[in-house]
Amino acid sequence: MPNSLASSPADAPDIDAASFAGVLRVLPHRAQDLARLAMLRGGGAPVVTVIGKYNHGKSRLLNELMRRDAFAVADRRETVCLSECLHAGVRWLDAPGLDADVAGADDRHASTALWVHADVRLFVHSVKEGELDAAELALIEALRTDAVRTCRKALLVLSQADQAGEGAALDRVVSAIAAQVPDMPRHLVSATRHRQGMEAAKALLVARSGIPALEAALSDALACVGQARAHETELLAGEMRAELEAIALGQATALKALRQREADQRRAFEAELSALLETIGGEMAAVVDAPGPDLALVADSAGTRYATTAAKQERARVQVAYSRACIRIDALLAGHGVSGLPRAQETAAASLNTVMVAVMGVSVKFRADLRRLFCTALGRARLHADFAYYFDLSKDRLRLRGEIAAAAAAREAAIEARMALPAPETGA
Amino acid sequence: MSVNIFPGKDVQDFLRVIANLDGAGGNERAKAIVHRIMSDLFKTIEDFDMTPDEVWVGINYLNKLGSENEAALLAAGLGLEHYVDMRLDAEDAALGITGGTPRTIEGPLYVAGAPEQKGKARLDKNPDADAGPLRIHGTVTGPDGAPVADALMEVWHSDSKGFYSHFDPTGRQSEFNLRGAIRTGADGRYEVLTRMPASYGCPPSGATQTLLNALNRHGNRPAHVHFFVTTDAFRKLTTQFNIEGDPLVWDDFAFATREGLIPPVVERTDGHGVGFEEATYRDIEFNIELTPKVAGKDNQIVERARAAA
Ligand SMILES: Nc1nc2c(ncn2[C@@H]2O[C@H](COP(=O)(O)OP(=O)(O)OP(=O)(O)O)[C@@H](O)[C@H]2O)c(=O)[nH]1
Ligand SMILES: [Fe+2]
Ligand SMILES: [Mg+2]
Repeated sequence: MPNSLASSPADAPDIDAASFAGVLRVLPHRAQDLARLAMLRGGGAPVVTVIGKYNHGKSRLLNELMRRDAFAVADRRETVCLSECLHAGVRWLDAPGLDADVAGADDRHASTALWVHADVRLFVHSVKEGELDAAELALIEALRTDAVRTCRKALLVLSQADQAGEGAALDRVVSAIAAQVPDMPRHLVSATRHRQGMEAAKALLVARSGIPALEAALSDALACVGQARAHETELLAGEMRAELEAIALGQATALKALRQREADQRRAFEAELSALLETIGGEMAAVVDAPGPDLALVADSAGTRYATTAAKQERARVQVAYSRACIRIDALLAGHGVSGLPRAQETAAASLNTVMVAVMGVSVKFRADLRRLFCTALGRARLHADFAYYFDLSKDRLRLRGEIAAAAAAREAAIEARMALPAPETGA
Repeated sequence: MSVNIFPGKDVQDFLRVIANLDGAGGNERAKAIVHRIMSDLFKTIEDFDMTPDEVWVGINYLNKLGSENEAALLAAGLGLEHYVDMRLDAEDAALGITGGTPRTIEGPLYVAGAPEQKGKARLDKNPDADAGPLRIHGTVTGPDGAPVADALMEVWHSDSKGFYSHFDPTGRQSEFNLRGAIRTGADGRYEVLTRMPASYGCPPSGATQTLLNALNRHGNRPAHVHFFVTTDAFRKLTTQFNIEGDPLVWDDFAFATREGLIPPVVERTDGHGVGFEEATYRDIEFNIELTPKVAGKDNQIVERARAAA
């Protein structure tokens, strides 16, 4: 039976969420803290939530505290999503009961209420159920740790006091619980008694319900919310600022090393290539400056088609020298991962898919061509530039440049994210 | 240490087992050919007393050759393709088929699918500063000298770097650059405007040229233009002509040069008239004479893997 006073808040508040989107991308593990930070930045009324196992009387407790039946109450699993009600300057949040066996959506809602929305948490345990179980103990422990860290208060409420029998039986349960959490104050309450006391205007019954004492403790806790929020804002923002600074610094260091490697690789490649082209230039000069007429340019005839001629020998001599030079350059290229053609330029003929073929072409080289290509400074500079072009397109280089871009982007993202976070308190 | 085991019973029996000569099943022709090739190879190893290292150099070379996709290139360079052509010629001679434009090797760079044009086509789609204008024209005739209408002339050749479109690793040529398909009209004539091809050779650091280096041979070809001439009535002609004046004309590493396939190159200056931007151009008249089918069939059709675009 949903009450008209109760409305459903979003799981995570939108306030400032957009400005923290950049932070979230860099620090995805901080999603909950960022949602909380957005809440804190949004300000608004202090939030009180209940937390505890289902059917332990959480909704009814809130109704008593607000003096109105805002939340649905039933003797079964009732509350399955978050509802809230603004009353007396406080946002009261009713959360679904926890079930140690079911890690479902209900638990996620409860967890959002607990960690993202609430300033004050009322941990509700029905004395009817006896001691705290392991799951409840673990949750209480988490709440207390969080209270130390964030200054958010958690109160332990023992509910349905009228349901555990009178006197000795109740005392046994209460003292057993006291033994389980010795240094945490306990608030023993009965919603039924409070309601009866209020309706019949029986002050004693009201007092015996434990609700007034709980209200007093709650109002003490609410009085601290302003300070607690300031503390928590600085805590979360400070932690994340530090984390982002560490990331930015790490990426800057990585970036520097990567850029250094990029420059070193290029320098090494260029130095080796220059030296080799220089050597080949010298050797090629001897090949093309052979004395006598260039017989390679003298055509043979049909009659010598199956015969060896001086012209054929000369063409072979020049071509073999050229081939050997190319094989040496190719070995250098292979050593730097530059031998294969970039994927985008590959052709259907695998034999042509090499940087060597792309740069040199397959046209026949005569003495004049070899002189122009290898024996002049201009020719060597052209070859150098052509091979260097493919060096930059080689897989390893592309990968390295990708890594550099990624590191630069990560550093940029961390710096921007840090600026999106609240600035540290100054003059404190 | 030289040994002589090849003629012995063990090796001879071994060779029969390798080819499964005495076993059932398989392809008898394949068995016989493998037996012969392996026998010749074993004998070569023995005659030259080849070391295990040398044998492994050869085996590893086959892997290199395959990974670089150069087996067809090596087949051309070691004369295999030309030898097969010589045999086809001898067959023709035996059948009494004479005349006709000589056939020569296809090479590996044909691409099917060039857009067909009627009578005349311009092949160059990309500028190439190092290649001057070239006009190729002629008439397709039958053995009787009568013009053949509707013959499909497929033409392809390289650019000035020796690259063919679709196989250009620099990525500079567009689809079907320097390739065309021209359908002859009633007069059997065709005309092509294009740019001069370059002489080109094997990739300089590739597997084929590496082996040729060991033989002190070059892997180069004279500048040339490839043709397929296809009709309904005659045998399909696969040929090329070489560019006259290229010093490599009779020194083709693939041995594809033939008499009758070196048409004269004429310099002309009426370029604007024929459709060039330049006045001066080279002109080659290349007439085609087709040969009849043998007993109604084309006995020269070669099936091989070809690219298409
Ligand atoms: N006798 C008695 N019954 C109570 C008291 N508080 C709650 N109940 C009853 O216990 C049952 C569960 O109460 P709810 O408030 O719906 O419990 P809840 O923890 O909100 O349960 P979920 O929403 O399912 O998690 C209802 O029948 C309540 O009337 C109490 O102090 N005394
Ligand atoms: Fe060719
Ligand atoms: Mg409830």
